[in-house]
Amino acid sequence: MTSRAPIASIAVLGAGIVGLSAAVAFARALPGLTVTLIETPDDPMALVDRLPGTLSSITEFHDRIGLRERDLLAAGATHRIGTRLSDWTADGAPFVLAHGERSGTIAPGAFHQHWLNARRAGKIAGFDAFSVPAVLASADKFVHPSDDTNSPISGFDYALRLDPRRYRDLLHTLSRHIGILSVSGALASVERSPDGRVASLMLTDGRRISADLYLDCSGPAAPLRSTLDAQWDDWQTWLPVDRLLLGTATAQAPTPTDELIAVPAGWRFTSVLRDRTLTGLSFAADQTSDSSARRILPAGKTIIPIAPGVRAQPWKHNVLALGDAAVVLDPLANANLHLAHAAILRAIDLLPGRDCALTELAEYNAQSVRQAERVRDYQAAHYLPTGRTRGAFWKRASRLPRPDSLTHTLEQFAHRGRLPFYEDESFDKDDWHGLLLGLGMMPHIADPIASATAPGTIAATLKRLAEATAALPARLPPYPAYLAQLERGQ
Amino acid sequence: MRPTHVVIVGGGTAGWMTAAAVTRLLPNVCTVQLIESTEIGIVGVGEATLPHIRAFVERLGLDEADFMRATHATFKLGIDFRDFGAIGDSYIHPFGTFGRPLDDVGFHHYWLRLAAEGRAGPIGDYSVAVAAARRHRFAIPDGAPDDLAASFGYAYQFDATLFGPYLRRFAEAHGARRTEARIVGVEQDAISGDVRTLRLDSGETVEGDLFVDCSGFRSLLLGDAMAEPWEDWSRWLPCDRAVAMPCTSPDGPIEPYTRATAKSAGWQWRIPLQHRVGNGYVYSSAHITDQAAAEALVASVEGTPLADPRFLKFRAGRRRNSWVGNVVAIGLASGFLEPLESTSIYLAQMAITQLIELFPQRAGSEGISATDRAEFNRMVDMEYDRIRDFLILHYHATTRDDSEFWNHVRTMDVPTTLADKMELFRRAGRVTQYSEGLFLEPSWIAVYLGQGIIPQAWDQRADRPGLNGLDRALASLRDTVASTANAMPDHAAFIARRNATIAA
Repeated sequence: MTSRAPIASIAVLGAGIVGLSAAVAFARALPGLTVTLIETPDDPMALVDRLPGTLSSITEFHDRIGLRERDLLAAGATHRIGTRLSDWTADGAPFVLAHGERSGTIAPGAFHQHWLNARRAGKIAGFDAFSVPAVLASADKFVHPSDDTNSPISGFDYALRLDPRRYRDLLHTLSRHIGILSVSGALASVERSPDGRVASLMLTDGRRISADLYLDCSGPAAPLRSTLDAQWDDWQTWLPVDRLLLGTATAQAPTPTDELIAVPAGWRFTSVLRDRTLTGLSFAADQTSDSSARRILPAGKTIIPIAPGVRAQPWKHNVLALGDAAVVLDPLANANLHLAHAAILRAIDLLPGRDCALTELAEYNAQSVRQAERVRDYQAAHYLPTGRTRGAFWKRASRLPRPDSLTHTLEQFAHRGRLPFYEDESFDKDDWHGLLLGLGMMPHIADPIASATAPGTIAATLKRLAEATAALPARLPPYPAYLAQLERGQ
Repeated sequence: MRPTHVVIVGGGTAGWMTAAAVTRLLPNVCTVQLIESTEIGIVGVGEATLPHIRAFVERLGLDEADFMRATHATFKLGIDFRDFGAIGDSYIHPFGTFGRPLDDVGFHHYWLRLAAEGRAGPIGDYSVAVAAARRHRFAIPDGAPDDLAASFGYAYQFDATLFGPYLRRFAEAHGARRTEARIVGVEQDAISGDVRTLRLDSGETVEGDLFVDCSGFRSLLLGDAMAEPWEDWSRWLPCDRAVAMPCTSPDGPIEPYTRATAKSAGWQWRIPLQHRVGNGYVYSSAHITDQAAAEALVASVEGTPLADPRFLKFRAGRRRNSWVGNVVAIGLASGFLEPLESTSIYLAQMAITQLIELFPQRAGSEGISATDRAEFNRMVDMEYDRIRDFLILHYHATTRDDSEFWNHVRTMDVPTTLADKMELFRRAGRVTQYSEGLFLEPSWIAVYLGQGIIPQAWDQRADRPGLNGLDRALASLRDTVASTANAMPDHAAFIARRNATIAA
């Protein structure tokens, strides 16, 4: 028999993409819940609320809140199948990262081990030439993966590229539609009860908001969560970027491919939206001044300092920090919103009673931090010494110390191309293979299982595969045409 | 390049599994020599397995029917636990799921809500594996992923004394060389401690690059030669003896499941094979004498005994590291967990899989890297720790107070990792998630609920549907589960149809 009091009301501080996502997801999951959305002034440093990047996991989040892909397309989203990294390698050759299995089983052993064996034996196409989504991305083409696993165009995922402003509007409309109360105001003070929990929020206009659970979605300053404690794990030792210059350039033809371009001071990125192109420069403040950054990226407008790190206890008492209030990362791997959405769904899956007992909170915090740390590791792995080392930023980035979990991963991979298992990975083995091999990391030892197949057979199979994969994009329409066709179909 | 010479010490289940897998999967990389003595018996007593064994059978390219004939195997859908949570209780831990998730919420949350209203049947009624097991029916899972007919997995129950020889034929056909001898001496490198040479009772000496210790409890190389310390878990798992006695099969159907019945000082297994039934009492020698345990076993078995009771001694725990220097221990030589959840063969299989992936890059002891050893040991640790917690749960989650043994396990301190998991379930039916390793959510749910850990609450979202609608939906699911099971053939008939029956 249920003996505990359920959470009956939540108050969400902050109405950016994170706050709206949380409010809508909680309301959808628990129709009896009273959700109050406090629309505080935007924190310009709240990165999740202004970036267009997502991972393929966003589809699951949208399923949960009842948004379909066509709703997103109508709100300005486009498809993102991969990212081209230019000037990022030692020899400057570009490579593409895309999410999906590589070409299935060709003989006993993992595909990448066969590729490595062929590569050791002689010249062979780049690892990304065997990934269907990477080859499509490279040709600026996109098509939905087929459900038929025999189709060559299957077995991969794609993400969406959001227009942050319009995505926020869409969530806002949805929140009103499902009856979420919103109040606008700013947080003046937080009232605590003797047991340490938050009793109510006082807004500057004198209003008092009380709820069973408070979500702090207000950005990195986390004015609500940080009244409980100032705990914060700093990741600046591991990650080289601490400043971002963001700007907007003129519209270009839609493409399913984002660009990451390494420059001596850091990296530039561009993400093409329907009516404009978002662009940015990530750099290190002690190496590059803001004015130099603006010279490198003339379209740049807004400077955003980034202090990467995580809150070891994003959920404490009856306060849950989400988005930048919980974890801060630069946009390198497009994982910011992914982490926020995953955290929201996890909080709903593990929702405690009104007492917010430590048992559930501890499980939530452990999973959330593990997941954030592995994204951090994946981002830190973009700066390997086997990749680019030219330019002050890269010279230093490639020599940064690494977290133990990443050291372990890299050691294992460098040794024999194996990836150790970690719980709560956002980037799967294929993602890691794509990145590490793209950056020129060559394992020392050949895999014994893959090596049991004669190299001649494998080389011939790989050659055929690369040719077949390379022929795929020509059969597909240009992305703008594909997009138009989708929209006509609706 | 000279191939790595692998010397396997011991020809029980673990030894021949290793020889078969290594010769089959790494044909050009190594040569395999297995040393065994027919004078030394093997522990294998009728083995129940987990569904993972199928991956091993498939990876080696064995024909299932042929393998089942050779080992007198039956199919297995789960384990029937009797008298664990309380005397008179019974539940099946199935190789399959309960119900289906609805709107992102696990089935068991809805079940908890309905059960609290007294309107749900036992949770096993919503599992096809349980329903089929109870009816002694079996079919290969088939259909779309969310079909009930595909909502389960299966394993085998087979005669371990036949499994070894079956794999021996396979391994020898793939080039493994068998030497009949006892080992009388181990020579180690004075500096590194690596094993260099084994001296046999024949006077022969055997050199090798990598030594795989499959010597069972003796742990001849890892325990004796390398002196790897033992980590003792008997404070949580006090059973340290078993007495086994096979019997004739009773008339009637063959159960597609193993039975574990709790007894006053441990528990008793019953594993139905094609030609006989394996029985054994696993007990704590601190709580019952050998004599009394044997008498209890003899008194409770069905069928005619086929042999005298045979005793085994063991202790729960593991060597701190399974791979030290050039010695890798696989099977009982590396550690022991009682067969309550049929994990022995899985643990050997897992270690073999890791060994193959981390196989030394070249012959000679410099071919073995510290990185590989550390990774191997990390994986073995993770598996052992998780299984340990799951086994302890079977003892700790009980209301039994009818013997000193049960009083001890009911009141003992359990590892924090387990205490946290139990508390999380108790609060609202949440199962600590992990994505790799044994015993995922349905297994934990089966044991928690089967042994009386009833959550105080359930996922709030399970309150969304109206109670009557939910009642109807679960009743209809229960009917579908029953009719799915009823549509399956009789287990023994199915074995015959697969041409897997042993010659009479």
